[in-house]
Amino acid sequence: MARYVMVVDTTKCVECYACRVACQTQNSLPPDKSFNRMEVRENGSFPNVKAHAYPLQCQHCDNPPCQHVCPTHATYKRPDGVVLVDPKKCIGCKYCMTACPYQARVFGKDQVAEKCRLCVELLEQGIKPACESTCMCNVRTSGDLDDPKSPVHALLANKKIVQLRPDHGTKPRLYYIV
Amino acid sequence: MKRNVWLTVFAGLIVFGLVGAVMVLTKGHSVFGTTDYVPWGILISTYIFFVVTSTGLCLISSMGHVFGIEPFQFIAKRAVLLAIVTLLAGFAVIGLELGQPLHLFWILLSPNPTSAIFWMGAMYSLYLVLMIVEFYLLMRGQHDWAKKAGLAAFVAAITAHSILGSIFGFLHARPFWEGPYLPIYFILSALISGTAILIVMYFIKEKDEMPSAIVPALTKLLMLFVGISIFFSIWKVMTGIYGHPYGKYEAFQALFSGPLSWSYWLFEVGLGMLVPVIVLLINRSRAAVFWVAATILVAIFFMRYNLVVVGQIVPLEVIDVSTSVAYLHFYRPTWVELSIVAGALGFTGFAYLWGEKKFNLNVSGHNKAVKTT
Repeated sequence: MARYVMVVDTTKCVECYACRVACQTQNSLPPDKSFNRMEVRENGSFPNVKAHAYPLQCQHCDNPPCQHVCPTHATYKRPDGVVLVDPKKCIGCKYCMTACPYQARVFGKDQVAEKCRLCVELLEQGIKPACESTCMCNVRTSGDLDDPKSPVHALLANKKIVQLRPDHGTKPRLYYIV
Repeated sequence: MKRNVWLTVFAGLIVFGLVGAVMVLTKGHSVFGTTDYVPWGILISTYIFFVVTSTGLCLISSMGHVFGIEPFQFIAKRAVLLAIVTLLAGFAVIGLELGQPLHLFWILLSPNPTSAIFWMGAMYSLYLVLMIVEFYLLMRGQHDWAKKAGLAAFVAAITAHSILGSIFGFLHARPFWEGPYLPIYFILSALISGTAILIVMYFIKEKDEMPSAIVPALTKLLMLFVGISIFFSIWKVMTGIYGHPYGKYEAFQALFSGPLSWSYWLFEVGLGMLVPVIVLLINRSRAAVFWVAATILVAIFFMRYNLVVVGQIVPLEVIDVSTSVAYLHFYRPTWVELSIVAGALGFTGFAYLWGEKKFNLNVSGHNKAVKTT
């Protein structure tokens, strides 16, 4: 059984938003909706300041609040770790949208609460997700923790790794290099 | 004559609401002011307003026909009827707020017991059935059984309404809502709503010779509950601003001097707390009591709006709590949302007046009926 994770190297990101465009194309999303979002933080004090871009999306938590609050099990977690939404079960109550600490949910044109699927249909075939393959700086790296050859191991071992808001106890599957 | 005027007004509101309903059913949530950042808008707060009224009616009217406190016994049938009507209005509002109301059957086929919304749906459905049974038994004059159904409805009402509070209380991502405060506060708020609407109903029906002893009793209750609500609100504010906790402090700034300040100071604090206390301290005439009760009902509508919106307009701190963001998300209801609110109010008035004509609600002599059976 695969254990999919994604490592996001924020130090390489130049904020070109190509990932967002690729995601919107891959998922046929309208211009004002995206499963991908960018947040910028400025650190330091003048003159030593640095802008830091964080590409954000569903963190595919191992303890996903959106799954716990969903009244119909429309949000579910696959054994390989990917959190998905079954649109036919979603009643559109938007509880998951208020429960997610990462602001990852998007209310789509089908009137259901959608989000990043980690392009799981591509991942299963060994193809990279759209946001990853389009990135010119290799910011994102997806992989299977159970696959010893996966490049994610080296990234997770060598750099300074953080998870977003670990205090919420959500145990995200996305790791950020900062 | 006057009744027909009201029926026409209410029917007009229903038609306006139906226009909004058609809009949302054909165009989806794009006709709402809600966004991905503020997914819950005025329809959620209106739903809470209706079910808080229904719960309050059940709790306060239970004092008479369930717990046997004399002055409250004469209003039972009206209270139960209006509780059913307001609950149905609430269900209509939440049904239109759902993106996919037709998928609702999945809540039966694939229920998630860790979801507070599942439990709320289950408990409010049970509550609705119990209230209908209670009303039927009251109309049949079977007061002993009505009392049992009323007791069950009382328990269901408290359970369902505190679960509604827990929907917000369980959200650890939303600092303003998270915690045990809201389930408890919602019950208090139901007691205020129930008392206020019973006073309003009493004065509208005064001619039917209901015992006037109920008015001083309800007035004292109203003052007590408003006092408790001020006490609750003060500590909610204090714990929210002391030490500038992220999410809570920003939310209170939005209420004090931000986009919700008019709604907070004018309605929540002014009409909901200060005006009732000041007026009832200096003047407890029948007219004053009536207007205070009506004012409180309006204020509670805005209180629920503030509660729902302010919990979402402060941006979530996704990266790190230490780097807070200096802006607020925007939400303003559209006319479609307001039309559904108006339609639900129209439905409440219309259905209640219809029910009053249809059923004989005046003969409410609880004790008398018990003796004759």
